[in-house]
Amino acid sequence: MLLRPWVILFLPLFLVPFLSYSQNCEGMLFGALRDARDRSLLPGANIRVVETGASVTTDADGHYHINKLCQGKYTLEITYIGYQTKQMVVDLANKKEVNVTLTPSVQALGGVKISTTRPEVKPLQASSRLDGKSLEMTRGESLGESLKAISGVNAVQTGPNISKPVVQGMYGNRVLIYNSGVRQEGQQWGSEHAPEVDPFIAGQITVVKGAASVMYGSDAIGGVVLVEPAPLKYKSGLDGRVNLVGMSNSGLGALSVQAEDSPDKNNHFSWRMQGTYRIAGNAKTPNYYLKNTGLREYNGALMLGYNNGNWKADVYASSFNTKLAIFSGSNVGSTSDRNDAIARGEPLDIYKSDLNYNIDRPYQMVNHYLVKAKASYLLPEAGTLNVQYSYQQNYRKEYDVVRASNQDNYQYLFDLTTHVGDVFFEHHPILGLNGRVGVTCLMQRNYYDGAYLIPFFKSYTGSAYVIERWRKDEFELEGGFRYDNKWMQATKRINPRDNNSPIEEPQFNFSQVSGTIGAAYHLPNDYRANVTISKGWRPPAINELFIEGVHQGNAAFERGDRNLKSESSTNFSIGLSREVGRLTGDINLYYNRINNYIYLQPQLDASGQPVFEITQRGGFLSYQYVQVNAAFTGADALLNYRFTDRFSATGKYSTVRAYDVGRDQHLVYIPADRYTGIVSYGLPDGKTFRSTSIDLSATHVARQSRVADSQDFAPAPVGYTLLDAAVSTAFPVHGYKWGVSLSVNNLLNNEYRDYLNRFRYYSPDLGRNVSLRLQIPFGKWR
Amino acid sequence: MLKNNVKLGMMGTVALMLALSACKKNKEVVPQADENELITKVSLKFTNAANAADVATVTWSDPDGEGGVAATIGTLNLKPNVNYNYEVAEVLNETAKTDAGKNILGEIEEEADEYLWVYKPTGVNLTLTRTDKDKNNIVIGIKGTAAAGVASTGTLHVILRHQPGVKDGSEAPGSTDFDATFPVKIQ
Repeated sequence: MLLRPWVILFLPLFLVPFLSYSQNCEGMLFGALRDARDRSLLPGANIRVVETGASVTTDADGHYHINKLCQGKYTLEITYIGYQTKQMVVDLANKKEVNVTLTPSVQALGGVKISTTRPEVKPLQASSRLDGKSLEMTRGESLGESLKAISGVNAVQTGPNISKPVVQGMYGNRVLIYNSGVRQEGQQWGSEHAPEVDPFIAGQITVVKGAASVMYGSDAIGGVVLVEPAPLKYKSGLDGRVNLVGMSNSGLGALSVQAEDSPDKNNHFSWRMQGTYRIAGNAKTPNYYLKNTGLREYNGALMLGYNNGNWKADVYASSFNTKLAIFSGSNVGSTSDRNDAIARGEPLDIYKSDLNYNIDRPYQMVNHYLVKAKASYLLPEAGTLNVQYSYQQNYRKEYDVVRASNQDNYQYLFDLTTHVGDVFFEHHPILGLNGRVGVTCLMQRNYYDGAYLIPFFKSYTGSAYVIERWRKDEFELEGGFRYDNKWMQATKRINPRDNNSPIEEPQFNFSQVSGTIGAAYHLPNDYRANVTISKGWRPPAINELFIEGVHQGNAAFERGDRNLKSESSTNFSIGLSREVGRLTGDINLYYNRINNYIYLQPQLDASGQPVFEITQRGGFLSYQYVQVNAAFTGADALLNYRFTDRFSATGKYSTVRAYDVGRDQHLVYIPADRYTGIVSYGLPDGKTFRSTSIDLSATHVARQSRVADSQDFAPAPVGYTLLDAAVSTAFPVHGYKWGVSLSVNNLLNNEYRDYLNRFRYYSPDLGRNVSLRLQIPFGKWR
Repeated sequence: MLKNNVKLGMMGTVALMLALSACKKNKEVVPQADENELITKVSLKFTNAANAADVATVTWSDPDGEGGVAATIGTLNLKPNVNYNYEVAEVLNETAKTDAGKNILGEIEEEADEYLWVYKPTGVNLTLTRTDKDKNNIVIGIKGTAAAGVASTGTLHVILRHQPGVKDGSEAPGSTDFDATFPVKIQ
C-alpha cells in the first residue's frame, strides 16, 4: 500500500533514457566543472556558447548540460567569481562530454577577500548563509548561538548554554536541521533540547527560510538549517587547521583540529578527521556569576571519500557528546517555587557564584552518533543516481536535584535510533527541465528509562518527491510535489506511572501531499525578484500526542492529546535580492497560514480561572496541547551599502507576527522586532597584517508587547540595545596565514533580559563577553 | 588494485557501523515506571501531650503518582485548647522496588541537614513549633509541638524543602519535594 505512489513517481526516472535524444540539431554538451587545484566541483558557474548566445549555470554538483546544438564547432566561455575566465573550442558531432577546470584568479583589492567558498545554486526561496569570515566570527559558539548572526534567525534559549534556532517565528519540530546531508533526529520536541551538532565541522551553514517541504521533508514548515562540511579535497599532501577560541565571560575554551589528505597517487581517495573540545565555566550576568552554568563537550568526525570519474562515494561518521549544567537558581520544584523566584527577579545570593567549572545537578548529558554512507554514479546520458543510508543514535539523560540515595541515577533517559535510506536521481535536462526525483524511508525507535514523559514508539515514514526547475533567459520556474506516509505505534501503560497498569499500543497513520511552486525573475542591474507558494504538513509529534507530566524547569503540567490531527501550512513569500554592486542585500516578506497549528495552552475552567493539577509538589498549572488556526506574517531584510572599497554599512531588520485566528490573540514565544546596524572599515594591507577590518554594531530588540501578561508567567521584559565590536586580521607565520580576531559582545555590560530566554524569569542575561579567536593552518598547502 | 580499494573502503564502513551499533545496551520491551523521587504517601501524627492514647493522624496519598487518579487528602481533627506533640510519621514511595527505596522518611532523617519542613496554618487557631535540629543546629521540622486554640476551621499547608548545600533555616533556597494542604478542624 505504501509502495504504490512511489512506483508512479519513479516511472519518469525509467523513461528518461528513452526520451532524450536523436534528430538533427539535437546534439548535447555536458560535463563537470572543477577547480584546477583541488578538483572540487564548482556549482553556480556560467557557461556560455559564444556562437548561439545560449548560457547555462552549473548545478549544485558542478555539472552542466547544453541541449539542442547542431553539429559543428562551438566556443564555450566559462566565467565564475574568483576564477579566471576560460574560453575553449569544442567540436560537436552528436553528444559530447567536456569536463572543464578553472584556475582561481589572484586575490585582488585591499581588504576585500575573495571567498574560496563558491556560491551555490540558490533555492528560489530566501536563504542566508554563514561562511568565510562570518562563520569564523562565530567559532566556539553552539549551533543555535552561531545562527543568530543570520538576519531573521533567532534562538529560543534555556539559560546560557541551550539555544534552538528560530526561523520565521518557528522552532523545534518545525525547523529541520541537516548535518552533512542527514536529517538530524534527536528529541527535538523539547525547547531545552539543543541541537546535537558541532558547528566546527561546517564549511558553511545555510538557513532556508520558510517552508521547504518538498526538498527536505514535509515538516520543514518553518525552515531548514543545512550544516555542510567543506568538500573533501582530492590532492596529495597532509594539511589542516587548528582553531582556538577563548571567551572571558564564562572562561570558555575551545579547541578544534582538522586534518585531511588524499593518500593515493591518483587522488581517487580522500580523508578528513576533525575533533573539537569545548569547556566553559559559570556564565556571568553584568554583576555576578550564575551558579552551575558550565559545560563540557567533545566531538569528533571522520570523512572518507572516493572519487573516480563517474563514481563518487563518501562515508561520514560523527560523535557529539556534551554535559550541560542547568542554572541552580532555575530549579523550581513547584508552582509556588517558580512564582517566588519570579517575584524575586534576581536569584538568591546562594545561587550567585564565582567563575568555576563545577557541574552539579541539575544537568543534561547528551550523546549523538551519526554514520552516513553515500554513493553516486553519473550516467552520462541520463543524470546522477545517488544512494544514501544513515544511522543515528541519540541518548539524552537528564539529572535533577535528588535525594542522596539517587545520586547515581538519571531522572529521564531518552534513547532514539533512526535509520534513513535515500535514493534520488538528478536527471539531465528533459524539455528544458532540470531536477530531481527521489524516495526516502525513515525508521525510528524510541525508548525511555526513569520517569515518564513520552512513551516508547516505533515509526516508519515513506516519502517520494519530484522537484523540477526550468529556466529561460531572465525567468526561472520551480515546481515540485511530495507524498509522505507515516505509520507510528506507541507502547505505554494506560497510567504510565503505575507498573500494574495494562499496556496499550495505539497506532497512527498519517499521509498527505506537499507541493511547491515558485518563480524568479532577473531584473536589470542584477536585481532578482522571487515569489514562492508552498504547502507542507506535519504529523503531531510524540510529545504532542502523549506527554503527561511536569517537564523540568517549566513547573507546568503538560498533557498531550492523542486525537490531534496533522498541521498543514500554506506559505507565501516574495523577495527581492542583489548580490553584486555597491548596494547588496535581500528583502523577504512572508505569510504562513497554519491550520491545526499545535501548541500548548493553559487550561481554564468554566469561570475563566486557571486549572491546577495536584501532585506531590502541590498544584501545577495545567497545560494541554490543542490545535488552532494560526497565521505567521513577517519580514526579514538585510541591506549593505559599500561607500568605498574600505567602508561599508549594513542594516538588518526582522519582524514576525503570529496570530491565533480562532481566539483572536497573539501566540506566545514569538521573537520581538529586531534592528541591527553595522559599520565596517577595512584597513589597507600592511607589511605584516592583511585583510584587517574593524566592525562596530548595535542591535536593538523591541519589547514583545503583543502578548497579554496573562498569557505568560511574567510580563514580557522591556526592550534593550546592545553594542558589539570586533577587529580581525591575518598575518603570515612561517609562510602560513594565521587568522586572529578579537570581539566584544555587550560592550557596555548592559543588564537585559531577552523574551525568548526561558530563564529570563530567574536572572538577567549575560554581561560583557570578550572573545579571542585564532585560526592556524598547517601542512603542505599554504 | 582499484577493486581492492573499494572493497577495503566498504569493509571499513561496515566495521564502523557494527562498532557503533554494538554500543547499544539491552532495552526493555515494556515501559517500566521508575520515578525515584516519587512520594506516594505522607502522614502526620499528632499526640495529645497530656494523654498518649489521644492520637490524631492525617494522611496524603496518591499511589499512582502524577496524573492518573487524583490524590486523597485527609482532614486533621484536633481538640480545642490542647497541646500536641506532632511528628512526620510516614513518607513513602510505595512504587519503589526495595524497602529502603520505599521508606523516604528514613533517608530524610539521615540527611536532615538537607531538608526543611515548613508548616503554614491558615484560618485555624493552631501554632506549630519545630523542635528538632540537624547537625548544623538548624531546625528540621520532622518533630515539634502543636498548640490548638479555640474551636476553628482552616487549613495546614505542609511543605518539604530539599536544600542540599544551601540550607540556612529559611524556606527560599532549594526546591520543593512535597507540598500539600490539609483541611483542619478544631472542635
